Amino acid sequence: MATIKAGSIRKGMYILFKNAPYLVTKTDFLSPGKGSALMRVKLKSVISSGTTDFSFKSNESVEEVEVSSLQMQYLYLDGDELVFMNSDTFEQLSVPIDLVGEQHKLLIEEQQIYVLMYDEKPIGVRLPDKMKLKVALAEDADGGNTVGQARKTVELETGLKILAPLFVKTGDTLIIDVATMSYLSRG
Amino acid sequence: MKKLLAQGSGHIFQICKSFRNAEPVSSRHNPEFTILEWYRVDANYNDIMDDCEKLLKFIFDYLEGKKLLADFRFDLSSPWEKISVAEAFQKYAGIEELLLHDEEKFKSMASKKGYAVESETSFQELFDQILVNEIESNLGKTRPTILYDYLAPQAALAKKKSSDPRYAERFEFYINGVELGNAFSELTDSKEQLARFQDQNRARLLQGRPEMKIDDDLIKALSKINQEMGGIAVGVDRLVMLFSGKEDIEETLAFSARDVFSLDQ
Repeated sequence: MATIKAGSIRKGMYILFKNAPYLVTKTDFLSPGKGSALMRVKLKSVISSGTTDFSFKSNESVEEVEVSSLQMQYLYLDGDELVFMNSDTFEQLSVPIDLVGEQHKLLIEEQQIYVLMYDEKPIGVRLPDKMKLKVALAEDADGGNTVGQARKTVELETGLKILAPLFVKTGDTLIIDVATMSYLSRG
Repeated sequence: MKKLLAQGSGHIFQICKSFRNAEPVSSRHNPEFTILEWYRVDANYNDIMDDCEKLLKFIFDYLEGKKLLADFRFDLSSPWEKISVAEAFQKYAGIEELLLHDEEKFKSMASKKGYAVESETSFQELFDQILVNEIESNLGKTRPTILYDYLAPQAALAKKKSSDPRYAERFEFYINGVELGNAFSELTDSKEQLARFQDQNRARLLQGRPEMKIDDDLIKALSKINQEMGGIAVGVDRLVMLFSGKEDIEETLAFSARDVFSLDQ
């Protein structure tokens, strides 16, 4: 843990806010009055995944916290928890789905993923910006009566259904944009 | 402009650039910005409030007539919502008016609310922090809000309220939580203005900031004014943001500080 001035908070840092760890997703300097300087930050809770806005005085002290990442293998979904395994120690770890969000539907079994740890507890996973997934089922579609960009629904190997261009076939590998969970290109 | 008023200019306005050295760049603020200022003689801040309502309605009607306002979601019809600073602190932050006039109690209340209060933390910093965190986002949600009657020390150029000199006749108006203008019933008492400049300099020295040179010509000019005056500065770039539906002030500027100096974030 390191104490920093709120004025040096940057996007991507983890800080303690009301005794809980938060990821900083946006920062903005403000100088509303006479001489006061404030630092407005957008925070995403790493425990509840809720978001909040707060403006600190630029000169007040804030605790920056260490969030470590641990490479683990994704095993399976168990109810509302994702089960991971440390490939070296074979120790298993469960991460609540809420901390990962919809993106958990992109996880392929046996995939290596970084799990974020704070205070020895998992607080989320770090996914790449893009992921490659195979198409499990794509029905042939005729684009006869569509206007503009024709799309059809395809099912990926994880069971997730997304919209993809008509030329996509069963067995193709697709590159998926993780943030929007949408088709980018054929891989 | 007050010097021109002292020479008998009558009502005046200007649109000009303002540059504030070392001010931070943000999505709502560029250190160099365009302001529209106007002064009315034989008038006070109530008259300036009316001007603001009419000005925004005028801009709205003009743009609407040209069918340029597709998704404008604010109701600009008069009268706007008006709330005093003391009422706003009570309503949105649950802070009693008395606390605004008792620095020690205000600080211990802020500390109880979870704000960091250290020995060097000033009343003004905490006031601004609470205003930004708990109040501003409630202002101008669906229609403009006028936040009026600031604490007297927060309005060095404004006239004190004769009915309650703890407050000064200053207002700001907000739309969508963003401040668009700052207005006063102008202080035209040259002796009081000089005393306030001197107080301000003492406060700046205490904060370790350089003294401001006192504008003797302004003090001299004020001594010639014997009418009431109201004046305001409106952020033109923020008005453009509002009517064009932009989220970031940078999108309204040809040369934003962030672009020119390649600043990140």
